[in-house]
Amino acid sequence: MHLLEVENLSVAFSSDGRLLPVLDGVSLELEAGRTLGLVGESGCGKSLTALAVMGLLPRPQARVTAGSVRLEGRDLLRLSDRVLRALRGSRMAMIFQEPTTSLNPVLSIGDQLVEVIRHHQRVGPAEARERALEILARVRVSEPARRLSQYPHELSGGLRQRVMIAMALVNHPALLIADEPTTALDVTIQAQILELIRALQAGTGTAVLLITHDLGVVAETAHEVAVMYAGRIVERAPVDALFADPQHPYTIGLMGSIPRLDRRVDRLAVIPGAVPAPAAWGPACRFADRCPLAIARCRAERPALRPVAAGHLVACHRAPIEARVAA
Amino acid sequence: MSPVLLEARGLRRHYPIGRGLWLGRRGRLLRAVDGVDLEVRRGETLAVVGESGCGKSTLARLLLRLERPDAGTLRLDGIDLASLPERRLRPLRRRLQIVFQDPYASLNPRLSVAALVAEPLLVHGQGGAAERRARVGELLALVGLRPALADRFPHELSGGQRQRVAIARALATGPELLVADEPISALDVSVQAQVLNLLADLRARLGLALVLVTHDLAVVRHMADRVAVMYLGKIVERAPAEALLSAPRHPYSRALLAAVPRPDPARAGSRRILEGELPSPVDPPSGCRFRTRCPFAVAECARLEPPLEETVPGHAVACLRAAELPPPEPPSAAPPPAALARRLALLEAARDNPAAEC
Repeated sequence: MHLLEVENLSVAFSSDGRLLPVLDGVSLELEAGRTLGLVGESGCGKSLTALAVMGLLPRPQARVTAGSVRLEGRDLLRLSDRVLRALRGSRMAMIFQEPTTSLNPVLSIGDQLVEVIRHHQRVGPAEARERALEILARVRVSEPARRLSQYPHELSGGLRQRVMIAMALVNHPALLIADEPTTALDVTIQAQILELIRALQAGTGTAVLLITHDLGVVAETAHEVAVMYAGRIVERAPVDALFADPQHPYTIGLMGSIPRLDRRVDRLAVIPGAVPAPAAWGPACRFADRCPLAIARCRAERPALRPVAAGHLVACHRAPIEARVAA
Repeated sequence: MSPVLLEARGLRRHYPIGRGLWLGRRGRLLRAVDGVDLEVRRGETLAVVGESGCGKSTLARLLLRLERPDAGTLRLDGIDLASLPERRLRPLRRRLQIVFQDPYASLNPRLSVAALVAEPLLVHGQGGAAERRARVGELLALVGLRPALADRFPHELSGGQRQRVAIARALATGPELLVADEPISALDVSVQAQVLNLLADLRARLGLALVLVTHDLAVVRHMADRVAVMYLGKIVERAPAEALLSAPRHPYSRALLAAVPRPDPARAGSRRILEGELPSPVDPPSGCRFRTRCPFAVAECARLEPPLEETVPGHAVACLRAAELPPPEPPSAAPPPAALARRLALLEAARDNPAAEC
């Protein structure tokens, strides 16, 4: 049994009386102590995947149309709101890109932490305060006692993100979902936060689902990676395999299009065009219009996610690339 | 080396803050830019790098004289823009233009693409209606937009297209200097490369000087000839891009470089991490402003403000200990994955020859 098992998950938004698919048959697994990087550009469905797992899809517009989400063996999609609420914040927790929007501006850090602790643990206020102090120290917030009485606006972005992480981890969740946790932070602070998440994970065995658009962050943080495009996973692999042996033309294009620190190239590779909007998603390969390798089959038939090597799955009719494409 | 186009000396911009009616906290200043010397040469790409709050965007606005500096000089071909009244500045503005970070915010949503691109021409009284129309067509072609987009409105365009419109608009008056303030930060990853390539092409084609304000050192490596690294309102290091990225001398430049996550899993977990956070620019540390986070700081760093001094011609560092610091770790020279390079070439070839169906 996997700690987290998402199987064939599909989500649709209702818009003007019709259903617009936004997630289309997403499957992934995650084990305790591991980090899965979910990579893709805005609109690819990576955040929606996370919200679906958490049971936080916007209602009533969004709804799960197929699939299952199992955490520690329980199908989350079949649980009542009350049970789900009890799991959120205890067995699974989520941190977001912008901590200011997730922290309550009118409650002190201490009050918010104590609330989260007492909602899930049978402890008195004094004991909860002790635990709040303890977790702030563990996420290396300086002067934790003073922070308890401070408000979110009094903290820097980096400190706010640490407080968010403290709040997410205080009840020892089995799964932490981190949605672009460092995107709003400066690069030196980003490095601190990523290191913190790594260190906490090593200590607690929490599984991390890391959502990001940054291939550098993935390379340095994740054990496995799933690349998403237009509502689907197009490639999945252990992190080393993905970077050493990228197979999907989208993954290859993405890697070629980022400027690199270690070498200068004359021109960046470019993926022509732009990400299609959900209304324009077809049943076949959704990358075909931007793909130089596309053939008639790509526009007619959906490519299944299939293995090209052990643990390395690709949804492309043209993979493995050297074998199928004559140079 | 090409001649100097714009030269800043001792440029300073402080913002008064906290001056409420009753608070009475007079005299508190946010030192956004605090004594910057910098020149921009014709045709070069100069990157200004730093984290949020370092003053890089304020510096960009000062270089264009969108802000009036509190002190210092700013010479464009010998004319000091710092002290020039607005009336006399106006004709010079067509020579200095800017592209902002967020094309969703910088374009008037009620104007069509054609009107947006023609607006600077109108403002500067360049050409009649027919000429302007022709020029708009030229500019759209220059930035790679189809003529059919001229009648569209910003909300009908993708982020990349909007940024192209913003660039066309900035180029309308034929500037010699283009400032791009985080021009790709608001764009999707796959579109960022398109805009970077476009900026590089335009710079080469039009002989523009480009000042690229960015937090992203990989973008610097890709684009810049020279780099200025800023920390709390000051330049801490100024050097040719290659020298700065392969052998950074200032401890802050080193830390910044080390913190960048790289798309190379072999390197995971090996970076050294800078402790602490940026101090407030309202109350910067005495002496060297970086000393509170600097692993090499000594007592002297709190007393003396290090001047920005050239140690090697063209390479200036503001650090008392620059000469005695251990050499920086050489950047990891891991070869790029062969498969990626090979497959990128394959995609490229297929793009040039789309008939290769099988």
